[in-house]
Amino acid sequence: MAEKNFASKRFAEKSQRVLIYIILTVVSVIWIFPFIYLIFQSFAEVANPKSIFPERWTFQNYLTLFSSTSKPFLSWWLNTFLIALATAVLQTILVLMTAYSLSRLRFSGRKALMKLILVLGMFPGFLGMLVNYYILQLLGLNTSIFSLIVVYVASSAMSYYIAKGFFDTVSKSLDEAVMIDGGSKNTVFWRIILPLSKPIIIYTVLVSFTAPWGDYMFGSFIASSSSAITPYNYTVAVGLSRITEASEYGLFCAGAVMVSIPIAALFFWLQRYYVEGIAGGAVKG
Amino acid sequence: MASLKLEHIYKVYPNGHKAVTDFNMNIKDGEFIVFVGPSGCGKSTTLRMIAGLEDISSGELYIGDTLVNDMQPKDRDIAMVFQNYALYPHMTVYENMAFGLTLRKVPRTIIHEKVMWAAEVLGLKEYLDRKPKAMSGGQRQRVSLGRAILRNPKVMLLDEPLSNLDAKLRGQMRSMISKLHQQLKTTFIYVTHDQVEAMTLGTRVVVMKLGRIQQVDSPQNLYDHPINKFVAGFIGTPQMNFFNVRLKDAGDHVDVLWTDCEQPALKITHDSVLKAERKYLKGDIDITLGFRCEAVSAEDIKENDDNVVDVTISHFEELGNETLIYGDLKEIEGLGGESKTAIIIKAPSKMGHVPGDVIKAKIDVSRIHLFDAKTEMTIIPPIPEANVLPVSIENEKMTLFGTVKKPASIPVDFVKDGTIALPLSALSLGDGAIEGKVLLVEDHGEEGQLALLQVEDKKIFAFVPEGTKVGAKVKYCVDYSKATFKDAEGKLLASPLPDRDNLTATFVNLKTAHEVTQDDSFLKIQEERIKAVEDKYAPIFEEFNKEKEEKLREAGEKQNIAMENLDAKEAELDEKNNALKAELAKAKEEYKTQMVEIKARHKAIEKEEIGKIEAMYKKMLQDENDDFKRAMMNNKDPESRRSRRMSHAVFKESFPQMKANDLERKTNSLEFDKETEINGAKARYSQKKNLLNETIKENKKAFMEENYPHKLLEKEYAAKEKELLKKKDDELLHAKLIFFFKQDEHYQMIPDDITTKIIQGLGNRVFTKIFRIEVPHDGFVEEEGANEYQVVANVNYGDVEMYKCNGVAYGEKVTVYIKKEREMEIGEKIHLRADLVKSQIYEDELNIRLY
Repeated sequence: MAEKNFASKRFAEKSQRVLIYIILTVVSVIWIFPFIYLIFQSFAEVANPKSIFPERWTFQNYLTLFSSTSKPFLSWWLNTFLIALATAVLQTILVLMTAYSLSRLRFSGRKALMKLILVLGMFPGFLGMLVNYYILQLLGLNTSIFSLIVVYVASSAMSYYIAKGFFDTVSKSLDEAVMIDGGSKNTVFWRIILPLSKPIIIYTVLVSFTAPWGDYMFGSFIASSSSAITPYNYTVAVGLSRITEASEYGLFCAGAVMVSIPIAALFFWLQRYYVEGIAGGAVKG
Repeated sequence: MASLKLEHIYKVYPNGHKAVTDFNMNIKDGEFIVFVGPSGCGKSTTLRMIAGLEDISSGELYIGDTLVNDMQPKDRDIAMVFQNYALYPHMTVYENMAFGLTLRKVPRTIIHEKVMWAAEVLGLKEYLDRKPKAMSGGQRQRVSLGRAILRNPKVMLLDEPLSNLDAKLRGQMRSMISKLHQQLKTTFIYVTHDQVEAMTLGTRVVVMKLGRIQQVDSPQNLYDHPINKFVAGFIGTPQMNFFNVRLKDAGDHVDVLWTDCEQPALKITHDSVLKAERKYLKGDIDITLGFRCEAVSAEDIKENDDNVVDVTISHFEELGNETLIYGDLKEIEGLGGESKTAIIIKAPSKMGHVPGDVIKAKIDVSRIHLFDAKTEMTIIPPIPEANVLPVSIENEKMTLFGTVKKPASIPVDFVKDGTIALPLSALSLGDGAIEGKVLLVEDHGEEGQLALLQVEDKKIFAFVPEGTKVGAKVKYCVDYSKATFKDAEGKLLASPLPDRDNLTATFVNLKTAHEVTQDDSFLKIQEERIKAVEDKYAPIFEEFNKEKEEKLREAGEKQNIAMENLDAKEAELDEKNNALKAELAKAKEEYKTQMVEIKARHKAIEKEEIGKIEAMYKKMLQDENDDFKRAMMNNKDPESRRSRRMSHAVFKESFPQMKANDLERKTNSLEFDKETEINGAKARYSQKKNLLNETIKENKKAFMEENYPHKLLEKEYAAKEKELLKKKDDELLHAKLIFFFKQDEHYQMIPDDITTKIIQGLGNRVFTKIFRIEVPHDGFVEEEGANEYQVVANVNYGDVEMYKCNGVAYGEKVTVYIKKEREMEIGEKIHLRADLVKSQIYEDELNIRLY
């Protein structure tokens, strides 16, 4: 009897696992399909959006992408990379500092400020696009695509809450120990909290890099509004949209693949830090 | 090393919660003070205020002689050990300990020396390259202690450092901390909720409850003479036995009558309750009797012994070397949980009893404690508040210490067999009316020498000068204004005159005071104060400039000489530093190769070890499979076949997990070895790097000092001048700030130190608050322009004479009593102001004492 029960339990567990794997496989196929499709299309000599596998394979799309002078993909890529990098660095510093001060300092109006930021954050960013542009124009910044950095960084401190949540979990007695050891709040932040916050720093960097990397709205708005901005100054999103306007589908797909490479690389490189629980051992746990 | 002084410390949170109330204490250099109390009693808050991690709401904190209220924690020269260790997780033990000194820019070599010393003392030498997460709780707390002692602070603060450790480690760490204190001779302040730690560690223990100090004393005194029921119950395990009783004077002795049970009364001597107020001996006041379990014995009781009670045993607790007998003075009902008559007796063994037995137990009445059931304070205080004596007054004669003429102002004309309560403060040493013969002297430390005196036919307690011997005669003045008179039935006839009068005032600044009064003398005072500062600093600056000129001239000459040969010297410096830089580069190179080597070696080791485990498991699986097959083939017995099949199934089920666990364990331990080795290499490299860098810097500095003395000196003097100017500005600012107490229409300047205290306590709320100034009778000064009072009566209390004066403030009548300094006539108008230095200042809304 016992043996039979044992066997049937094992069978139930096994079948359950099989079911889970089937579901996961289906989901991942659905999830990864567009990407595969994109890669295949980028290698097609003649673009045919209706079939997955190209009839004839070619590298021509990639070659055109990097050699065309009317569509200088390399400069777009570099522009975007610089913008995203600058934004990521500035935004990370701002977000972490804001989060730290909201987590550690007690000043009047702190709670109200946090609530206000939360409410403000609920409005979509492009609501203020016209005003943003107007201000850029007033400042004389509308002639360069790099003024996007200003736009992206300006409101960045508003996304402080995940980092704050993380800082809240770091024991306050660490701060106090530093204060007694002879440090200031600055020492605490730069020499104790930051080295302990690798996971959250990496999260913030990733988030603040990907957003400008893929942003189309602001980019196209600025790109199309000033004659000072030539095709050489586009970001990838703007440039790729221009390619689709010219209905060069294969070229677009090749560009899209090239765009996804840095992001994918970044994720593969940094994801292992995500899980590294470096805060272990700080306090008794 | 330093002493500490806490004066009227309050902690009030913004929501009005008072965490600490009126904390007063003097801590001597090198003491080991323990704050103990249940959670939420304010002990940690007090410690954190000392550390500077928490603001002090009101009151003053001195470390050594310095007021540190507004000082940053880092400037207070303290060290703190936290309950959760608070080690920096990303640093090795060495770096953790060195961090504080690194921040203070102490030279590397000294840091290294100190870290090594602390590691030696605490037995951490072999863990220096580890990170906190690779250490046990006890080790981490030792690192934390090391970090603290390393800096040789003035005060060591320990906030429940052992609470996170298990019982055995706690014992070890306790003795380690105790030894550390003996070795370092630093002032230790230790917070704990564990009374065992408090008793074993402290030279003095502060028992706290609800933000207030209950008692400060040595552990032994806390145990033997608890001041109230809370302390009695909190200190000592098992808890003290408490019973409701009443006391009744029975002529040659005093009976302790049980309220909640029928047991024979205990008999105590009159001498043992000498310090108690007489009212307690009448049998109508509820009293709590307390005694510890070792003050009761259940052995060797004779037939007609006194103080024996019957105890019904409920259960035992055997502790190995001794047994606690739990029982009840009444018959036990049910489980006897909340009985008011429960008793615990310490006995060497069960003595053959079983639960339910009724045994005889004898109470050692010399070791009992008596508390007022209502106030919970002991009725036998170490220093009694007042002497309560029989008194009779008749025909202007008072019979107290003999029969004398009654001082005129005692407001009692007739009383027979009444009582007078004469507080100790009413008896002042001096050439007064009474003389007593010393019967007994007790030493009460800071509070003084308390003596029992025979005055005429009465025994009284009073303070005597230090060195007074038994049998000596001492004379006293008696201030009857502080006495309470009651008649034979206990009805109040006269209560004491308050020893301070209350005045009300508001706080105003100079501008307001001047605008209202148009009194230019206020401005003149300010001008004078400013001028005083200017006058003080003028010669200082003159001196400074002279010195500066002189020194700069000398340095200039030196520099000129040095300039001649500069190129050669520069080349020499470059050569020296380049050699060091080359060494640095070499060290870096070495470090890099070492890292590569370590990593490669560990990779090889890991591969080998993991290979071994894989092979082992492979073999294990093979063996099991073979064995199973064999068993299935050879064994025909269904029962054993089935059991074999099941064990095989279990094996298969658990095999992958077993293997994974083993692999993980191995990788973890290998990883740990690798990390420790890498940390070690890193630390050695960074030490070398820092040392070299420092030498380079020092070389440069030495070069500058030698060749550019003028330039350096100029900088130095500029800094000095800035500092001096800042000091002057500060003093000027203080001189300009003058504040007044406005009492009705009169403005009185407040002395600077009192102003500081008031502002310290209330911040910018001072201007909106109303202050109560309590002025003692000798704290009034006659001054033209001050508030007007009229003398209404001459008050004569024998050795003390005063005048009663009436005045009006804010439309209300104010009565004050002033000490007789000169003859005054009744009806005379006088102008009085309070001498603030002698007074006490309160703010009633927040209920805090400011001065």
